[in-house]
Amino acid sequence: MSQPGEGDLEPVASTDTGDNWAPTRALGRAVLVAGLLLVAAVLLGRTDLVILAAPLALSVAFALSKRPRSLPGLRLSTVESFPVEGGDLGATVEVENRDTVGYDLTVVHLQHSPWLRLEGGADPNAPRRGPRGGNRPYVTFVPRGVATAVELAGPATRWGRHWLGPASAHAVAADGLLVSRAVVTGALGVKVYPLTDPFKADEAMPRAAGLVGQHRSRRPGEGGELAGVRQFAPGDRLRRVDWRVSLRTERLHVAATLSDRDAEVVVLLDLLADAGRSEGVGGNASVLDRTVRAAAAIAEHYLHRGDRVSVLEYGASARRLRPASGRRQYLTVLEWLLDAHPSPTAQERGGAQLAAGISAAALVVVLTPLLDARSAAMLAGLSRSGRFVVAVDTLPTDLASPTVNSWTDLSYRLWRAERDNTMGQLAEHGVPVVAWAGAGSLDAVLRDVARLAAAPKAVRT
Amino acid sequence: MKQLIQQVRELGRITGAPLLVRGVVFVAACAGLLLAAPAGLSSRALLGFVALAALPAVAPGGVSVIVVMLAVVGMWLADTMLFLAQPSLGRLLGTAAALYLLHSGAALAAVLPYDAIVDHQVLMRWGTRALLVLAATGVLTLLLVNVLPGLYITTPTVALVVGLAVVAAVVALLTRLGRRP
Repeated sequence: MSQPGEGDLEPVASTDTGDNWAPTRALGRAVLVAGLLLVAAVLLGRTDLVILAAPLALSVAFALSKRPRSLPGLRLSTVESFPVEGGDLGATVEVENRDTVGYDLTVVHLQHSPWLRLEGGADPNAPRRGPRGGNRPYVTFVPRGVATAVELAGPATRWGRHWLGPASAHAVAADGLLVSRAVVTGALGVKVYPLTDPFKADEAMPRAAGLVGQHRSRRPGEGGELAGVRQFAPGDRLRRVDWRVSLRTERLHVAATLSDRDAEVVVLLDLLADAGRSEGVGGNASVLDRTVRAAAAIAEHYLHRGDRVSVLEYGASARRLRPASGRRQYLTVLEWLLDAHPSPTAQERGGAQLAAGISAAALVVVLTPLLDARSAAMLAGLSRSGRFVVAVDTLPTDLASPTVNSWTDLSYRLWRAERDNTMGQLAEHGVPVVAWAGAGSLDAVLRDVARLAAAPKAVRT
Repeated sequence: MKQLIQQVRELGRITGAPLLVRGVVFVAACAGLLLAAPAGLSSRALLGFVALAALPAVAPGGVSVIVVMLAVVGMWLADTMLFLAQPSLGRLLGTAAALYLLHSGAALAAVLPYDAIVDHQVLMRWGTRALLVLAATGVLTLLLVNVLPGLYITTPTVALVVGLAVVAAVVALLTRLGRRP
């Protein structure tokens, strides 16, 4: 699959052979009925039968006087690249008539991922009546020597790597008497990045834990050292606005500073199990959805502040993204998250093994639904190894268990109680567990972690 | 059962344009059967015609279209030969138009997916071509009526052979046009 992008067109296999067009059943029907009527007219000496046969014979003769020869050309392209879930994506299917005869119609099918809600038609400006989209075929008129574009647009409702295509088309000519062979394009890959939940952690990063050395860093971020003045951008704090420059230039400018911290944030994704039903953006979210969106939000927040962020996977594939900072790292994190899938495994590394690859000064944010006992053990192991761990509970609050029998409700409540118990035990081990709630989720626990960082550990191995 | 539910669910996806074309097929089939039928038929037979006319609309790509077309021709022959009816020019033209519209509409409906979003130009162009063919048929009818002595001509044997040869040539030409690469 090729990558999406403007002008990313798939070549079309089109040959000019005699087998390109086939007669339909309508042709045989018209010739048979017209022939029978004309024979009967001659045998019986009846003019009325000639008149009955006349429109059929005339239409066949008129339609077949000019026959198409070559196949229609077909191209599939995407308009927008790098959409975020919920954002609009555009796709164009272009049908080209390279023949000397116009097609009566061309039927275009475009297959795509169910997470892409593409709708449209031959004329996007036409008023919309009736049902639209939903993987429907599109029928368009293609005159000779002209290319007609079927514009499709709609939101991508879930993050991930989606497929767009293949598109197929077949043309109909000669009043429906001839139909062409289908032409098919390849498929395009569409990357849809996760929508970052609004996240802020204004209160405190465990700075005491994250600080290394006394030197100012050279990275832009929150700090006291002036790096320059630049234009205001979304996410900038109002207190950073440089009013003098803003008044002079009539545009908002902020004083950019260098980061005076060198904290590392490790976002650990627990992918041992998934739960819940994903309904895309705006609907119910599964554990994986919440995990990915939360990871994107946390990474965006800390990278914007100039910290180094790395991402780890706790699952079968055990992927790891090296720590780095800056905008490029944010894009890399988003790309990395697209390949996050639930990957249950029988043997998983413990917390101590994981901790070996994590800097001792790093803040470890573990996104876990705590569905697997090994997740809790891993959290405890990380904490025992002296890492500053914050667990973010990604289990959806509205998760309902399917009722199997009368014991279902009771067993579900027991399981919830056991899970709460585990969370309590983790808290005793110095691992605060906080439910993911977007902005301000981590403020309270970060304050606690910062306090813990200054104090001796409660439990040591 | 699952398949039936799926089919019923898919019926909800049908769009306006294919529905309109299938409606034209149904109306044309109804009109053709009613115009060609001998006078004085019972209401039960008329209901049977309506049911028969629904078949090409439901399955325009099937054999039901040619069955209905042959039924129209058969009833026309029966009415004029057995019941010795003298059809008016209007009835004749109406039957010819219905026969053609049934064929042409079914040809279009067969290639239009039932849930397709259709560009209105496709239907406009199709309608214009159908009107042109019907207009040409009207002109031809007027010519035939004015030039020939009547709707019933007693032909000598030579004329019969020549006529059959012409018909064979026309059918061969149409068939060749259809098969030509």
